[in-house]
Amino acid sequence: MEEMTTLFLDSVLGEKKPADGCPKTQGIFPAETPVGMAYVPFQFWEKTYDEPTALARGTIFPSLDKPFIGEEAASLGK
Amino acid sequence: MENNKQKALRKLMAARFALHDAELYLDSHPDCQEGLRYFRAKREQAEKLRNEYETEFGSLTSRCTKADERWEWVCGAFPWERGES
Repeated sequence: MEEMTTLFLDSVLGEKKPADGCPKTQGIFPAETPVGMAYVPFQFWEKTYDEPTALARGTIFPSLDKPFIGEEAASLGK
Repeated sequence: MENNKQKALRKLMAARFALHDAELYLDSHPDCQEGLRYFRAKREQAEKLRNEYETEFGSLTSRCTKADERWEWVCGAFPWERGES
């Protein structure tokens, strides 16, 4: 897991300078990240729900507990 | 109200669900030590809960039924049946 994170942080600075008025996304993605693609942040281990809750919520990972509630998705948790 | 059999089954289901979720996570994070620790603990716990359930309420599947003197699988309540049949 460490190499993934260091890779991510090491190349954050990159040479490409955003033109004036462009949003500063450089700090978020490594320099060699191609544009026009979708990216999913890598999941890391976290404190899990206890078992009865996990069974009810459909996941042991609180950060994946995203019930569809028909409007703006908000983190409901318990 | 859930009887003991249903309570035991629910506990086993919850333990197995957590185990399964950990397995899916480990598929993409094979070196994650915390995930591995969690998985090992849950696997042991699920096995313990299964044994407890089966000694008290009979086997969960026909495959692991007692088959010494008779085919126990059909001689008691099935796992999905509430009371003793």
